[in-house]
Amino acid sequence: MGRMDAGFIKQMIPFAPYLVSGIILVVLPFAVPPYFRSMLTKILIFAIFALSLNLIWGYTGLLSLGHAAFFGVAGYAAGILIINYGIESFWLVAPAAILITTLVAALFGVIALRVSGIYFLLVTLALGQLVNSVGVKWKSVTGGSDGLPGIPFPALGLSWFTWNTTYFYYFVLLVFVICYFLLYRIIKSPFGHALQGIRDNEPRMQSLGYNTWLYKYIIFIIAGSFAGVAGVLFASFLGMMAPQHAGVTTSVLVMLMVIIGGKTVFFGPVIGAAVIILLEYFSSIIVPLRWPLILGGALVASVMFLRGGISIYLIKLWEKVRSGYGSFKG
Amino acid sequence: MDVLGIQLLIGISYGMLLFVLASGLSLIMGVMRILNLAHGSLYMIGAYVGVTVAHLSGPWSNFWLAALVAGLTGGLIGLVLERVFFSRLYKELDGQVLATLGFVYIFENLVRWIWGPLQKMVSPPAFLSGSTIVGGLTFPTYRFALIVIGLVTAVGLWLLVEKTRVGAIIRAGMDDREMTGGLGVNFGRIASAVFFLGTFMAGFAGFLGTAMSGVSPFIGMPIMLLAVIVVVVGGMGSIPGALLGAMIIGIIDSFGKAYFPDLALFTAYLAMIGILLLRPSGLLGRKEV
Amino acid sequence: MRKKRVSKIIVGVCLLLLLALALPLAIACAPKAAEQQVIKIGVILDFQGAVAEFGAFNEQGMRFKLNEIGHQVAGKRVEIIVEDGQGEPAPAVDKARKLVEQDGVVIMIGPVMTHAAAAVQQYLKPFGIPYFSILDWTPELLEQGTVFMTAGTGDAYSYVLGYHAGTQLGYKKAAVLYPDYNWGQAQFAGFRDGFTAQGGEIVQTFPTDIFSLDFAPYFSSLKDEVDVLAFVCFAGNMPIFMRQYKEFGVKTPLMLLKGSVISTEVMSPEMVADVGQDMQGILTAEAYSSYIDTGTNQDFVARFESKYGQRPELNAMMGYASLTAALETIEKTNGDTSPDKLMAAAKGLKVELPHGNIEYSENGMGILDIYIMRAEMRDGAFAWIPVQKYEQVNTYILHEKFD
Repeated sequence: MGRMDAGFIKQMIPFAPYLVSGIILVVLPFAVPPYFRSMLTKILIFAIFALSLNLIWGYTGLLSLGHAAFFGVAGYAAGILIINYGIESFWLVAPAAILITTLVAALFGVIALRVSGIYFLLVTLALGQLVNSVGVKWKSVTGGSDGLPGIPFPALGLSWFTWNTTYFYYFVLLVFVICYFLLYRIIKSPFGHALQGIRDNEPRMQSLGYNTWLYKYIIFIIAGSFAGVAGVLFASFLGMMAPQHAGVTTSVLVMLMVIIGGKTVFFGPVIGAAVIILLEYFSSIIVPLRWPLILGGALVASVMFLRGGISIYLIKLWEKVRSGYGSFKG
Repeated sequence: MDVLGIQLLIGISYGMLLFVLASGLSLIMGVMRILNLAHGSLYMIGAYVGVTVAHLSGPWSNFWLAALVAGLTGGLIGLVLERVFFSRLYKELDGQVLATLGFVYIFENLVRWIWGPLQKMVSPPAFLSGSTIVGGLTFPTYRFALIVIGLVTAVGLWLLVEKTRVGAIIRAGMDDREMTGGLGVNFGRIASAVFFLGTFMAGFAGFLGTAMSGVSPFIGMPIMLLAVIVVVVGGMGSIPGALLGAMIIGIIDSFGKAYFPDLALFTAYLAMIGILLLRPSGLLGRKEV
Repeated sequence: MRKKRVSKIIVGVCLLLLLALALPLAIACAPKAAEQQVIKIGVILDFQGAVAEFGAFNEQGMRFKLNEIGHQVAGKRVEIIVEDGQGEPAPAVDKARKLVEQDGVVIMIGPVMTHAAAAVQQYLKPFGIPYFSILDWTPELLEQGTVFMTAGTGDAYSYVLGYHAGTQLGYKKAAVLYPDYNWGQAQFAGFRDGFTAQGGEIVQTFPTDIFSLDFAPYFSSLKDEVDVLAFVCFAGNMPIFMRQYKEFGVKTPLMLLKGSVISTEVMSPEMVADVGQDMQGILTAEAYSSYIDTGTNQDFVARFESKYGQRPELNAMMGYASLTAALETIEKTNGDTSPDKLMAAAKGLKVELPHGNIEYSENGMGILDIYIMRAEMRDGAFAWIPVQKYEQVNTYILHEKFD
């Protein structure tokens, strides 16, 4: 009896962090003040966004300075479809917005992947700023620098259901879990392993017969699509979209999330999203005008001192707990 | 001289300002392969320090002295950045990008903290103030001065790079850095000197620009983007390229503002992407070895 | 070794932040009972962006009012919670969310920037609380019925200016320079309507970036036939604007749309020395100047000056006015802070101010006097001197009033 229990528990141990985090995420809204629920939602949305960036950055070694372009395009697409074209149903708007974003990613991918190194950085920067300037100048469609206000919560077509911030949190949580699961499968698959191979030594992968360009292109598009998912959620969350959501500042924000969370660990960006959004909140209370200083400082500090991100430490902590437990039981 | 001609002059004078700024960036990117996205911030900091000096009373309020101080500020901060950060991030492009982007935000907020959010202005020296009549139309004298300053800078830099021994080392280093070490040259010191020169140009350009159209704490990112576009279009490491690129971008900007306000910035980014795709080394750049 | 220690510090900070996520902020959700006794008014101001200097003045006027009434309204203690909207829509909405959901404010005031206000108004829709402007916003914000525009709509001032230019000054052709976002566009539209109503013609328009620093392309292409150049310029740009105006040999008379953005209090001494002289003679239309000649106004100015060491400029007065309006709304409901009662009380509210009255119509429009003012140097200080008053201007009936 005892031996079976020990074996079963030992099998469940790897899942423990997921279980605990899951319980926390489900229960948390009730333990925090209403304003914090919005913040949790924001964290989950940016977690998806940051995970998508890590697909190309941490796992494939491509840093894009314009990743927010996809975030912005998706959010704007959703907003424009709802407000300008009167298409209300979420079941139409969301897939359409994500499809549009995927097509944009396909286009940008062809352009960006023609070059590498410093030029790749510059092209992605230019593409991101291009989307930003379209958002500013195409006033009739995007509302210009005023932004596009009045984006509602997703219209699910369920007459008995009305939204509030708590329901929206659970909706975002559901989407987050699905995305996390999907992205995890992608990374753990042979495709994902090939990407890491390309990151570490592309010529070698090529010599092994891999069409590395195609792999990079596909993951670039996938990353863009998932950023788009985050963008659609964000549009409803904030109730509006503004051109800066597609620009370099938003790209930098999500880069910081990935680097602080850790780009070598799968869940790293999630941690990073939580840390940065909390940091933003506290700095707006304590030192309201100094956020850019803190953001910049965090970026420089992370680059100089925090190579693996904090997730490495969390994993080490977990390993210690595990081995401690194991030796006790074993 | 008609209105179009004046617009052209405006574009050229603005382009000259961009050139002084971008030439520094071009050298740094070409020689050291460093992507310093804080270059625009150094423009801004140099401008603010220069303006503060220029507004002091007494013998300090000399325009050229302030311009020199502005340049030195840019150069010194640049040198600190290079010694402390870039030397540790050599060949790590991602790290350089992130760290320098971090500095853009840091510098913007620090300047805003110290000097406030409003724009600052400075007057050109007396003999360059006011206007000149050109073919019946009035044009600010200072902008003519900018054109001259730009040309002098261009010639000076070109001579340095093409005709001096130091320049030869720089050019060799652009092509193959390791080789120069093998030839017994201390490239590290030359590299630091180039970085200093490049960032000096940034601060200097900042002060010059302030006398033309002012400066604000938020100008760092936009003007860095313009400088990057100029360098990409013209070609990394090429002084004539930076000049050509700056002229193109300056003219697009000023014609755009006057006649096609919706398109100017858009066009500049398209030009940059186009060049990166068709001829990554830029219009006049050295081919990648 | 040092690198390791710094990374440990960073990790520690991050873990602390994450703990803060797990532990609810007790302070935030603490004694709600005690808070019932305090009425909170939410204020979003612009401390950054194009009108970064306004925020401090708005707050000045509001705090002055709070002191005047001893922080009491309808028998209860009243507080304002001031947040920085950064002059942009997204941060303003963020702050609005905090003020409503975390602080429980019963009335919202500001910000000044219209595009930020439009976004905040969308957010406030489901909550139904009265939303007061400090200055003017654009007319479409009135459509919801939840907004009260303390200083009317922006186009009222430019309309009056345009009307004045056409009728009183006899100008026939105008050019307009304005920042290209909804507020700037409304300024342009107002001037155009007022000017063309008298048969005038707009021959050139110059839409600029919000942060435009270089006016050279516009001055150089300004046509000679233009009788007057109507323009919008934020305080920090004024010296550059005037310098380039002279550099390009432009002689066209100037009319400043929304002169509130320029005042002695806003301009640094260097700026005043730089452009004060050059700016003399520029006309504008505005709701208030500390030089308005009534006894009560001069009294107010004296009191204000003795407290703050500077005259009340338009933003300070409008901060004072908007808070006065919010407070009188609460007085009218006898301290009942339920949204519908407050909303009903605000409609038709008449607020008495040192220089005149503001009345809020049924649809939330602020009806007030508009003054044509001329820029002058008085005792070395830059001053807006009223030269003509247009009484009780209501934008909705603007066209009928002046035709």
